[in-house]
Amino acid sequence: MSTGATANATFEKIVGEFKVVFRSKGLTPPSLARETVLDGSLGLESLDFAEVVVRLEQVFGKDPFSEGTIPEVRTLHDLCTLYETAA
Amino acid sequence: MSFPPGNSVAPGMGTLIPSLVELLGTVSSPGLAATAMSMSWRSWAEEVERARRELAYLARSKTGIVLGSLPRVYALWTALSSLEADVYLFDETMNPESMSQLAERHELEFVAAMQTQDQPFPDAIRRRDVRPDRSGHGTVTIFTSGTTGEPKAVRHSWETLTRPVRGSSPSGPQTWLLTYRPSLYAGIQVFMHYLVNRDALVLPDPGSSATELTGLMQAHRVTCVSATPSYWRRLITLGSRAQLQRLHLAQITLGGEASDQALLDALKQLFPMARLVHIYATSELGRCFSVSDGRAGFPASYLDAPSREGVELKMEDGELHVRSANAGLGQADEAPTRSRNASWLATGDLIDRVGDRCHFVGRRTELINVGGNKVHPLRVEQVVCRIPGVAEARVYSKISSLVGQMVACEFVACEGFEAQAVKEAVLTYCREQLAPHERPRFIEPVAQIRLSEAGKKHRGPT
Repeated sequence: MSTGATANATFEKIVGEFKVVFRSKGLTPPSLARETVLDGSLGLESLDFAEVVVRLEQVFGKDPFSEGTIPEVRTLHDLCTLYETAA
Repeated sequence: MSFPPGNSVAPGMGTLIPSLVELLGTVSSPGLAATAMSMSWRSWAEEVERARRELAYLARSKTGIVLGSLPRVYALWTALSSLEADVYLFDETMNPESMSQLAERHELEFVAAMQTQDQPFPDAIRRRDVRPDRSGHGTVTIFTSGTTGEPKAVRHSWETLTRPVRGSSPSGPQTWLLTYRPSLYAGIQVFMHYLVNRDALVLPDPGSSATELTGLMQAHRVTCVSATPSYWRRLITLGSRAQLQRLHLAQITLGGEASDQALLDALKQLFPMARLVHIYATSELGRCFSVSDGRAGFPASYLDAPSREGVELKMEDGELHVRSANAGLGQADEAPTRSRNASWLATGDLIDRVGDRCHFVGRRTELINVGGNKVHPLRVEQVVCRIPGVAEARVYSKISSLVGQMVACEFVACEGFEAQAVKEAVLTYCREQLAPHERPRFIEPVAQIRLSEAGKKHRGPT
């Protein structure tokens, strides 16, 4: 079980990488919250999400998307949970 | 009297090398020089004779030789070849374990490694515990610098290695800088050129810095330099331009990788008097063709008819295929083939024909597959290198769990440019010029691009 503090740190790190991806696309990063839905409405394409996942592997040292099953991720909160629970 | 260039009659080793060595003994020019030592042609020829006498018991054996920056080891190699030993060329920078594995696999009876320049030849020979096989024919086996997997053992002879050598320069003996590893095909070509034309050769220490290399070239009055485009780029980027411009280069040769126009232009500007040539050669096919018009790529007319040297080119499925009279004798562990009847070989190099010119677009094995879209790293590198402040770039792939591979890039910033600002410029320019799948997603400034043993960029996935 993760504590609130590590959950917060995970969230901040993930948001940080999203911001990098927005900026390298030449976009101003929108404000991102736990409930933010990760779909096309954000202005990111599937390749951009792929980039976020490679970046997060560098940050967390793990890639929950490489384990054969396709995890269900709808919101930023889901993504945080995924990284916190992944082995 | 001169040794016939591109000797096409196949003399046995018994005649080719002694006649070569006899000629050398009469030459008074400098011969071979390393950072701390040199050897005249006369003593070179004497050393070959000495090695022949002292190592007669190695005749027709299978022997590995560790080549490096000690000049006498080249006399040792020449002597063994004239004794018709089948020699296997190792390099002093090779890891000892892979060297002994190769010695084991090829059942070498002896390994010759010189520790010092004045070491007696017999002391440099180590006998291995294998059943002697004395069926040698004076072949020369080269271990290719495969970036992945096992090195290939490509067999040549002195005849196939000296055949592509051009005749001596009309302006007299030249001084070459050996930038390639001496055990690889490109290095051997420079060595053979020097030997046949009785030029002078300068052997730098492996790992010399750009400043040390420029200093060495100046000290020895080097006139000809053959190197990979990556090597040249590094020399221009990290060496002092003022110091480089003081060199009196008569010939600049590029090979081993595709030469891009930006580099050719930069060299032309730095050395306006030098003849600028880029060569296409591989260990298996030997030297295939050269281009000297200062433009990247090669004339499309090369695809239409065989060259005078007996090299034929064709394009199949975007890939360059070659049939070469300069080819080697096949793989060392297969029965020898006659190079004259060489068959067509796919080179792995992808080309693009635009009008009267063919351009290299990259290696088939280096293609990056981004969610099913193919990206040529070379093309992306060329885009990145157009950005002011970028001295050098390497584009490679990063593994992605979602789309297979993604494009990554590292670059060296030019002197006086701030790396972070250049990185921003790379991001912006690539966004404008490239499709989303081609755009490098991971961009890192580095102090230096790491090159392979053969002086080439490694573009494999990381």
